[in-house]
Amino acid sequence: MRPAYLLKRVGFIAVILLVVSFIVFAITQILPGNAAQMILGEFALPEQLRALERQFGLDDPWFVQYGRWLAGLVSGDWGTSMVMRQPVLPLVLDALGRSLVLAAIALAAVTCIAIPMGVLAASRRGKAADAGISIVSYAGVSFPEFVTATLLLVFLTRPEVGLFPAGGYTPPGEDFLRYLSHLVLPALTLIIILMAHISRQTRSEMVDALQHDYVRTATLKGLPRRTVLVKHALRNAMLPTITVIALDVGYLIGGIIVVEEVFAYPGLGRLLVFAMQNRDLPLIQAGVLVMAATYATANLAADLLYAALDRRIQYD
Amino acid sequence: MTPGAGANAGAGAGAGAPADGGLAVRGLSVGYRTPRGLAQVLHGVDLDIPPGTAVGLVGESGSGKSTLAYSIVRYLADNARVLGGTVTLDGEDLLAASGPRLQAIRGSVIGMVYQDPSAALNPTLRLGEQLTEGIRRHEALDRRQAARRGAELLDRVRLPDPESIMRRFPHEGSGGEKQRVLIAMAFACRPRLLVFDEPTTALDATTAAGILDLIRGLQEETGAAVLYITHDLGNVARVARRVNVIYAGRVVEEGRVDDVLRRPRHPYTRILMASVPNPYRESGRESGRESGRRRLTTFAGLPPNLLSPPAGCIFVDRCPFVEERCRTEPVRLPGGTGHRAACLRSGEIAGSPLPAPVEAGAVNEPAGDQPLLEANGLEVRYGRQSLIEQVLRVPPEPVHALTDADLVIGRGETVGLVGESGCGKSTLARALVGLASFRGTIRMGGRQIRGPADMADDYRRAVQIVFQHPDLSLNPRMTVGQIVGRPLRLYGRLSGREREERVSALLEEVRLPANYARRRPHELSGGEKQRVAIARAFAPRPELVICDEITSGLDVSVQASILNLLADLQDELGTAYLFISHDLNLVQHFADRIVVMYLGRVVERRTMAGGAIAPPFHPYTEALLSAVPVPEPGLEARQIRLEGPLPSPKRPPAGCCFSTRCPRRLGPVCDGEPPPLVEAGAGHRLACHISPADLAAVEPIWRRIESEGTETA
Repeated sequence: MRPAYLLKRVGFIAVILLVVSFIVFAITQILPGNAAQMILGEFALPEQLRALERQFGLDDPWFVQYGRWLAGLVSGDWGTSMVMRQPVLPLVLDALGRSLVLAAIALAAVTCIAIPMGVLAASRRGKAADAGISIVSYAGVSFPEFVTATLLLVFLTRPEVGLFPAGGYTPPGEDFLRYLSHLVLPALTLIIILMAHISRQTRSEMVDALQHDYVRTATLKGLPRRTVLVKHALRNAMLPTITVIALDVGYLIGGIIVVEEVFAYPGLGRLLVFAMQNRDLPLIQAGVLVMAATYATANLAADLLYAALDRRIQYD
Repeated sequence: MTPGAGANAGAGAGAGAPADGGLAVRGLSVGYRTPRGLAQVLHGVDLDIPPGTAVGLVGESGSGKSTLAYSIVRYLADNARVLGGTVTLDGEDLLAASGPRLQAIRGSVIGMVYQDPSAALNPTLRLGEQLTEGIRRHEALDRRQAARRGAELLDRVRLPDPESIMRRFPHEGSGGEKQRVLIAMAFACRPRLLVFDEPTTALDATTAAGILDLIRGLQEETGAAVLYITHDLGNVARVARRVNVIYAGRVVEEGRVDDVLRRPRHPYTRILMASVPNPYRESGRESGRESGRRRLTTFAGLPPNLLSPPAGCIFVDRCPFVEERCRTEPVRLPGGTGHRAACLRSGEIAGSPLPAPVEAGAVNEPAGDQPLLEANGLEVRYGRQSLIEQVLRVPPEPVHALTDADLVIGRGETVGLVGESGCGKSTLARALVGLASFRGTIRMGGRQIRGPADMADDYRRAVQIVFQHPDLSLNPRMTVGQIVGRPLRLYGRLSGREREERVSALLEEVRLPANYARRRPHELSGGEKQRVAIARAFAPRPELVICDEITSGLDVSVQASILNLLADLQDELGTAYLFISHDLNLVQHFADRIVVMYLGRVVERRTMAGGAIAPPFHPYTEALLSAVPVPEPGLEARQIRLEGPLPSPKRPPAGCCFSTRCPRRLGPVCDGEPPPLVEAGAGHRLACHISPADLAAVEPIWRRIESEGTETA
């Protein structure tokens, strides 16, 4: 792969983020009321309002405001949350960090479980193991996430079981074990939800790969079944699965609002919901932008991984 | 790793094989369980391959030849059942081998080479890894030793620079190179049996010829037993000593290749051989067009239903010599080592000729002097600059798919276009129907066309195309009636009823029952699908039909019936054909004029005078001719093998496009100057620096040889 390609893709991400930032900015502009109104409340006097607008620069034309906001983003000044009265940047980054930890745990676990499940199902196609795996994984995806999350809560946090805390968050520096125990249930919920997604994808790609002539070549070379499955078939079957996993990353960062809400886990999704409920414009803008950036980066990573596994793909 | 298995294999190969060694298949019967019952695809097959012998197995699709091959290595579909018989190799019962033993046998005692080298290699692993992983498995070698062995093997299959090949991925090699790697893989652990499953079918003629030389050389060198499976009798003669002809799961004829080719005894073998176009046969010397085009012999009827095969001879329903006793008396292949056929009447019918194919009545004579379509200086380039390349001002490097091609097609005539993959023949077809944008002009019906946008409805109606793969070109969701009726909708104003009638008439024209209109493509056989594609092309009554490799994926007997159909349609309707094929025999049989292409350029253009073409040839045509297997016993080709790779169409040679591989290269003039298109006779032009007189003086490519030990026919 050429460095020019990487440069181009990073450039694309920048363009995408620019477009997203514009849309976000436009939406927050269209919404009735503005920051000054929100701060002063319904009963503010028009003069006070005017004064505060002038102070915030809200009376400038929209493109001046947009430019100012963009310049702030680039220079690291992401504004101040109107509700929390704190700088936006550390707020968003902390939430993102917590979301990433949860996503990483869920994703690592689900790939370690779902991909072997898919391989097993494909190699025992039509047999009991295949049917069993398909029932289990479909059951997991059929329940809405709040049902799965609530069931886990009900059964695993009862005082007599007392395995896991019911929700909340403890910083790792404070009590590391407790920090981990807070992560278990949300991660488990996500694993159950994503299991079907990834194992079914792996299964169907494996079924396809196993019908290729190169699998026959490998078998008739005298290689053991395991080597044929993992080294020859899975390597090819993983390619489309990678794309699916990359989309799941996007879902895990910010898309799991319900799960975060049920377990009171302070991730990016929850922060964003909070910001929207309170019309905290700077926070909304920053949160959405960060989510878009994560999506784009995950897709880039998937494409790079894809090219590393399949040398026929030449990006240029 | 199982070093024990490797040691076993080594010991077996090292010690001389016992007298009754080699492969012995006895009474093998295999069936597939289907929802409608058991389909038996092999019926008591016997096959012997002593060590050091190469045996051919010839059959069409569905004959059971692949089932036989994969029974030997026990690689059959889940629904397959071995119903009886034994398979032994050097006395060891392969059908009874345990799982681990089977793993030890595969790839070490038995090596296999497959039909399509591109599909048989894993696209995500380097060639070196794929070559050496088997060696490491079977013989206790470490990575370094295995790599050294791999390089030696690549050297033995005559691949230059083995180290660099080992580092490549499959897509970085040509088809021939990949097949050589697979052959190296098959020979890697000094196997006692090698199975070749149509190893040259997916390759170009000149590449295939080299592969056949290599297989024969390695077989003689190593003394392995070889089973060579093919649908092509011409190929068998180059590799094998004995041949088995298989039909509907039974060996119907067996004998020395020479005997079988010269005097086939089973009616199936006789018809199979007659269905291959053979411009070298004595009777084929007269011009094809004087009394209507000569039709090829084809099979009547359909192959037997495997779920309920006939009681007597398996071939009764299609045999021109059938008698009442053929239907009831069981027929078996006689034992012995001579030339044997499973036919009750093989003795009595030896002298009787096959019934001649039905020739057409009314004939539209071609009018080559009235041009229908004229193309001048056609050029097609693929590839464009990416945004970054434009910004960085990287000079463009387009693929020169077609360079300065001229083509004239007369009314009602057939122009054959030959060349190997990458020569630009399909690109030319795509340009003519407006699927590729081009530079240059096409003239037709007094109109000038300078690009796809100039192609008005009347041009698009008049020029139709049939593609190679009907599986891909027919929409699986549409019925045959909708597919064939589509052009009628586009170019005609017919009512629904009239259209239905026209569709029925069109299906009848291509010899399909009218009720096929309600079927969908997946319900049809390969030959039937291609007939549907032909009916679709003929629906708007075109003046020119472009046939782009339309018989490539088909059995030879089906190919014969498709060619007969095209000839019938031409005689009835006076349609002109641009007949594109990589098979020079086919084109020589079928075309009135031939155009030979190489690397996007026309190198030779000539009129056919019936039979096979004669010198002068362009040196590339000469090489093509020498590579084409001819199904005529007693003819031997002078060997011309092209060295080196096909040049990249991104950087074609500055002078003659063939100069980098030409066996008759004169010198610097060939590298530096493009050759002129010189007149070499009436209607015969070739692009070469060598004078036509010198090219005419080359020794003939085909030489008659008398084989020893057989009486003359």
